[in-house]
Amino acid sequence: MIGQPPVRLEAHEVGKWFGEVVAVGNCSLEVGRGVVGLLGQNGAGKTTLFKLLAGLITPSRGRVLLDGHPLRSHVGLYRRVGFCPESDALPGWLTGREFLHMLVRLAGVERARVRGRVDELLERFELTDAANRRLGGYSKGMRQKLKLAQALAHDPDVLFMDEPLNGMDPVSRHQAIGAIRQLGEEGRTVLVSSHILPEVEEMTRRIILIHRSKVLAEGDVTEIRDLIPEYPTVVALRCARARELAAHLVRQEHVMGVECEGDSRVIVRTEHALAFYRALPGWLLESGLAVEEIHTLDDDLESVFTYLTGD
Amino acid sequence: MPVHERGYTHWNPSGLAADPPWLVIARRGLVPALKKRRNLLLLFAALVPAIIKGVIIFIKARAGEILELAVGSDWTSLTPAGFMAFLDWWPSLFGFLVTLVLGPALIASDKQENGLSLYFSRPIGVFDYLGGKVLVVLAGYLAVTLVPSLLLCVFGYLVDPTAVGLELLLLTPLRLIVMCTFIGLGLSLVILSFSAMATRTVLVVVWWSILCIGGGAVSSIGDAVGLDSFAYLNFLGHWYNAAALVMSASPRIAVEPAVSLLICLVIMAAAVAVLRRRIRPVEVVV
Repeated sequence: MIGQPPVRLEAHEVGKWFGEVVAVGNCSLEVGRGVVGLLGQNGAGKTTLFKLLAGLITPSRGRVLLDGHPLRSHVGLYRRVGFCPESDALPGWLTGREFLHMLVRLAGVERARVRGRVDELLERFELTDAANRRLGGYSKGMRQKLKLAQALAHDPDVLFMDEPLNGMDPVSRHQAIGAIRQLGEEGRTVLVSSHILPEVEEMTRRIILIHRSKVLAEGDVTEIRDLIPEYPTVVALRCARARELAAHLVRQEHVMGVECEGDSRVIVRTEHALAFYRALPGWLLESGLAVEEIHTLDDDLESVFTYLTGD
Repeated sequence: MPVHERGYTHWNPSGLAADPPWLVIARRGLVPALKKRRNLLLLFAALVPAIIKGVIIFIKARAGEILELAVGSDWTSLTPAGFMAFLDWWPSLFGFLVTLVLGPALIASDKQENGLSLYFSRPIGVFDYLGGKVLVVLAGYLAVTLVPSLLLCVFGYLVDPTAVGLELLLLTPLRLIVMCTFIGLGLSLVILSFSAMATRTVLVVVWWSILCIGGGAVSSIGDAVGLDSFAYLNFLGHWYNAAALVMSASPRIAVEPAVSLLICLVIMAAAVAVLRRRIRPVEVVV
């Protein structure tokens, strides 16, 4: 956010174990502004790492710092933190308005601003009509929206969202994804935990991938994809003179294999996608061939996840 | 275009005019409770003994010692010992009932709904949380014990020409405040520690009833068969017995009030220890 110091969320050699079970191994990472997806299969240690970062579990070893301070030791830092839990932590006997009202006040919002802030959040998440209904009668999607609303109650810099889209209908899901992206664009640090890869992919390209209690990869999906040499990146090119293009590309650096699919499609395997894309315009100029469409087939999150975890 | 490029202004909380978190938590416990007709009925019913005592005080002020002889001086007197006798009567039952109504769900339901992470992901400490919860039960207890007693002090001063202002408007109210707060705080801590240990509210209700009613029943049986040591099991009795020290009243059970005070302090310390262990700002994952 303009005018605000950058938020730095760091984990230094953090580990957490319960008895003999290691939930999170030796993890070190740093999260800055924008949306970051925390990914992993069920039981990978994703939720534990998420709660460690949010200061809701104490690490067995290592430290988690927000702007250089341990969260739990500086309770005031929670003024900058919003948390959307995975579980349905909503008391059924309260109305939506009462619930938000309490959490907005607990977040330290000035008394005079509480009512306005609650109305604003209800409106933003399209819950105004249901505001005076008891939470026990809310649908799963409405409860999810309310959890998102309470996380934003005090306009935090850092947001922890654990499976925020669970139970939402497609329209709400689309809106929530847009809202989360916007939060990242506003300069907030948004850490989203999920095991539904396409959802995360719609929100961000930056991920932390956790597998079997360890951080397997961290960074931009394309960059991570580029660092997996065992699986060459597959690029599809549409060209009217496919065979000529294939013959030209097969001689180039970074190209491991070429095959033609029909008369107008060339499939290229490259070990270094970024270098390939950088060099491709030069090769096309050189050959005088025109390409109508370029499409990478396996640098999506799903592929990266599969290649890295081997599952 | 990103919002910040359109001149986004970050909201910067001053915190100056914000409510303290413990007050927010206490209000969240009390306001819904006061909306329930059953609880309101209980509060009004708790005034009945005070009204009866008020009527007796009024008649006594007019009829003199005749009535005092008829109903016994302890109960009708405006002395600290008289208030002790009054509070140890029906108000103690209402005190038990109000704790039973307000206390069991306070922490158990938060734990059941995984609500602790919502509280502690906000700028509040464990003492804010516990303070707010204790205040809910304590406020209920004081409403059925202290408030009627204080009203009686004022009423007694107004209707009884022999009443001494300093005693009835200052010293006795102070003793009453100390006594009721001590008992209310102790009972609040114990029932909340039960609530923190249970995952189901009904369990807390059962434990609390066994402790309060069962303890009293065992003590009464012991009393009937001449076994005074059974009085040590009278959980509620210990609190009133210890409070007798403040009220200059005779012991309520067959245990030295100082010993009861010690027992109460140990119970309070144990309850605090349980609460500290069970309520942590960080989640305990099993």
